Amino acid sequence: MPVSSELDEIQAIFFEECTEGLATAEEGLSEMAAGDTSLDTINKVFRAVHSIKGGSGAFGHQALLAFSHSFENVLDGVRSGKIDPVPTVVKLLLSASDILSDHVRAAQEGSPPPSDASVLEQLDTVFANQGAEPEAPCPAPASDEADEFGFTPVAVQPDMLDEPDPFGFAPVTVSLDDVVLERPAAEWAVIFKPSRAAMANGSEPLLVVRELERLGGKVHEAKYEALPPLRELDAAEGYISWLLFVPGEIAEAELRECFDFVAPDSVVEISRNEPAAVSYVCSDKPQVDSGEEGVERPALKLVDQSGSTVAAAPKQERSSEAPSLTIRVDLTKLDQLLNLVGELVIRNSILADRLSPADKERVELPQLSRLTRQIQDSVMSLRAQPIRQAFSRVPRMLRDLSAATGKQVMLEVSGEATEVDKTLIEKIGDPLTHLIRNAVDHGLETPEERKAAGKAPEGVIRLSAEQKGGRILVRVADDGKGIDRERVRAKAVEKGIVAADAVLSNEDIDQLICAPGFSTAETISNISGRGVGMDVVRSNIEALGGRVEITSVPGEGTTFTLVLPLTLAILDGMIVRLGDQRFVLPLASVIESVRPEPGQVHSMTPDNEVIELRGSYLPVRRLTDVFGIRTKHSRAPEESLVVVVESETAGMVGLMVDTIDDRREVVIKSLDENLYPIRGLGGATVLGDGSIALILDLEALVTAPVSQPLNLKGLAA
Amino acid sequence: MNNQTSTSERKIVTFSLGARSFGIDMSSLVEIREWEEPTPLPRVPTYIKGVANLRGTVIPIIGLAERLGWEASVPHSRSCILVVMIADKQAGFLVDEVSDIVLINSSQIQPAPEIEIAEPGVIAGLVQVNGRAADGQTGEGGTMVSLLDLDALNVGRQLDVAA
Repeated sequence: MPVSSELDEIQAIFFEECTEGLATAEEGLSEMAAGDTSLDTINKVFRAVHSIKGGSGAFGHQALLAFSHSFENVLDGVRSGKIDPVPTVVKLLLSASDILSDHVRAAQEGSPPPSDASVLEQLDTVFANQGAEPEAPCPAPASDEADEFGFTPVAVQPDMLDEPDPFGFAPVTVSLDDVVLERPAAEWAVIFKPSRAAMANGSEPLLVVRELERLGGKVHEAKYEALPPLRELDAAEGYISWLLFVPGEIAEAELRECFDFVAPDSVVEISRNEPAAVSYVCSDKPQVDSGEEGVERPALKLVDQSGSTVAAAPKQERSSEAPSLTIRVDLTKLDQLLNLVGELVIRNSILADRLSPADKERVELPQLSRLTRQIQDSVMSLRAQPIRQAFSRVPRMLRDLSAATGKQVMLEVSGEATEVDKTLIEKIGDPLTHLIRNAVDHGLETPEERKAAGKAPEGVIRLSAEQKGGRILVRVADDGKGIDRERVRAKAVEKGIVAADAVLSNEDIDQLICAPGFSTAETISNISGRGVGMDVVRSNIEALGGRVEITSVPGEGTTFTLVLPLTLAILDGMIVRLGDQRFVLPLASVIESVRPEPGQVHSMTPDNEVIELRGSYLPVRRLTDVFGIRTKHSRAPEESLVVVVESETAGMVGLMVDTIDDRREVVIKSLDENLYPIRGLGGATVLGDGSIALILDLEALVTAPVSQPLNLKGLAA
Repeated sequence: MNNQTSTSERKIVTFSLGARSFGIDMSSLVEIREWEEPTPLPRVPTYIKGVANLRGTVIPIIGLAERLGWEASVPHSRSCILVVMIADKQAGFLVDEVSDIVLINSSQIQPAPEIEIAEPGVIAGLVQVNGRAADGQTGEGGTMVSLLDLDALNVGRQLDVAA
């Protein structure tokens, strides 16, 4: 039992890594599609697919393994320059990555694998034809290789010589070739000496050696020189080192991968013995424990011996070997930490409240407060992730959409490095999907329509993210036809959403598309148009404490802006008092507060009051009524305050409260953690004195009918 | 049940609601706190008195007497809140007085007859508890304690059903 649960856990990590790997691959392939076919980019994709393949084999996902293997083959061909990353190939790779993600999902859910036959066949064909691609120009891959191995472009690469010469060049023109032909095998010399730390970690050098052997490597020598006399032997020390030779056609990165799990201070020296160079001399080298020194040496030696290695080699080594300093942490642990830090902040202010004014002036308290705040910020930043993760699935979606609709779409992404709370990333995924679908389905025109309108046939969707003040703005903009306001209005009237004679501004009409049950698509497509899209988007975003803004210019396109809070855990709030209870209003919705003059608040009916404000009338809600709070004497409007808030659904509304206490940041505690969500409340928070204040959910409040008051049981008479 | 000669022992916390005695499993108990007026919530059943701050966590406070269908207990100086953990959620139960912690044998527990409580299932069983000898309170035959089934009292669950 424990074994299987442990396996499940490891498997879960594997799938998590798959998701990251797929995102990386997608990103890299998109860069390649945009013309960046640098080795770094290709390697990035290769590594991602390679590790998915490795894991899938380990966990016995055969279909996934088989597909990723073919995928990897082609990537390897591209990487080594045998397959030219022409647009057709990149396109094939993109669809392969789509299928790969389907495969991963199938493996994860245990569902039958997707049909991959056609892509698989294309991959295998490309792989089989590698090097023989007629359009593959010789110089391009050759110069790529030259950078890596230091050949000048005229030299024939040793790699190519292993293959039947595809171009029919006779290897006679360059003198170096003769040497190469005599000893065609360039070799990697690998010295591996596990460190004491590696031994302490329980690393098994044999596994590394086996892995190298799998790549075709052979142990040339195991060296015992460093072995001390038996008396001085320290059983925990690693004394033995191995010298292996690995065939030259293996990519360096692949070699490096064998050492991925070796403790970083172990000696790993990889150098390339070009055929012209004399054999690698190693016996004269004293064994060193310092990894740093060990890495320096072969670089120097390489230059000495082969003379053909370029200076770029060590640099590349470092970049591929640099350990990624990340750690995987269970999100619940972070949440717990955040919770505790929030508590610390509160205790800090309780302490401040209790101290005498003289003590407050002392340095210790401000210092403590600042430290606490810094800890809080750091913990918050731990949860912050680049929004790229939410964006990464968009390109694929667009490809599918483009295929389904026949519309040509180009995606422009910016600000994907913007960091937002992890939970936010998870929660904006669905709204983003809806918006992108809408943009393609409703926003963009068909190529013919676009041409007729004098636009380029290819539509553009811009996806961007930026942080502005305490808000994150995520925009989805298209350059399509814009919102057809006449039609939207007609539809809304037809559906009974607005009255036929309603006076609506353009903005009002634009917002109508977010009304529940609204859909203007003439034919219901399976992409969007079920009329559930936009209102779901809006309610999801509002649930996150954000809002949706729509701007549209007829003929030029529509932009949806998601205005999101920076974090879900802390709210900038206004603390208001009602009876003897305190509530928190989200400050972002507060427009102003007014103390009404006598006669400024009019009763229209007993339940309906309005306040006259600079010539216009706003509805006023008495929170005491909405919550059913009975205070000893009903306050006259002149003794109360009206806080004007802006709500998405009801526009500007005045809320009547007794007083405003304070304005501060509060840590949101969800009610459903120990109870369940309550309509009208966005959660609760613990105030400085340890008491609880309920956070008001304005949208639910202003739309709650007064006839059904949200009874506040404890205070109800 | 009776053929089970298991001698497994359980620790239970006994408390009173009015004149009645109840018990819950010690393992579910998080802590016992003094009564403090909770922050009332809108739109909840009357037995949810509100929410309280338990070291930074917001927990609901349940009037246990009302929850079981009796008259609400009026908080007094010896009222306590039993903070319990039910299915990963914490809740505080308002009780009149915490009496004791006793060790009982599982075999002593008798199944509850279908009694007057409106909702079946909240009483997991009955057990006869003798007062501690040191207390000198040993009544004739001890006290009948109703063991509560906390899972049936899970507020989160109850309200999901109600919603």
